Amino acid sequence: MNAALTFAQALIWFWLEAVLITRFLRGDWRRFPLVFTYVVADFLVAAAETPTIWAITFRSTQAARSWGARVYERGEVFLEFFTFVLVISLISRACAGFRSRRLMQAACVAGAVLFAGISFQAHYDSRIVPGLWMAPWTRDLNLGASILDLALWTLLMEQRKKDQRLLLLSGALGIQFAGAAIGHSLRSMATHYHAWPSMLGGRW
Amino acid sequence: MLTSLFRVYLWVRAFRAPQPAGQASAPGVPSEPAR
Repeated sequence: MNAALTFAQALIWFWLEAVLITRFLRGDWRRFPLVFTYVVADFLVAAAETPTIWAITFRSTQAARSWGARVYERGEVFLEFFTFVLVISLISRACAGFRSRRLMQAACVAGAVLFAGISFQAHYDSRIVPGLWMAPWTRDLNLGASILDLALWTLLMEQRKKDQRLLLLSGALGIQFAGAAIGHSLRSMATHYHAWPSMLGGRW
Repeated sequence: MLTSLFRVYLWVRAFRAPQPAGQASAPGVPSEPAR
């Protein structure tokens, strides 16, 4: 049942991503090059993770789990940092006419690096498997990204001429960050209590 | 995964296909045939 649900979700996700990439290729990738690159990177990371997920689901050997964990960790870290870059670039785009644009960019980059670094220092532990410290770390990164997204949303709402597309892009990102933060929280709780939250963790 | 799915769906909506040329929104083209 769990595998069937994961398969159905993955199927719909890949189909929607393919539709999105096709729409970008009609010309919008020139207006949103970084968003397009993020979509392609997200697609490629998910495509790389899929065989490992199936290997773990159907043949849960130690080698399969270790391979899956390595691919997942690298893909997750890459996408988390790409997400920060994407949100900061959207903020920069939203405050294009501001005098303090450079200052805002610098503050966002410095804040994001500081936040990610402090959270890494707080959770990293070389004695445990990476998945155990990565879950609370990625939870914090998603929380940081959602705070940046909130700033982006505020900037967009303050503009007289509302950019509906940017509002939809940032709103959707906000939903994803909130869901991912909840999911990673449940995952880290599950490792402590070995309980039902682990079942929900991957669904968010 | 679910929220990622929802994010991709909303982005697909954000990048909806533009209206084909020659439809009512094109400048100078009346939305209804002249009577």
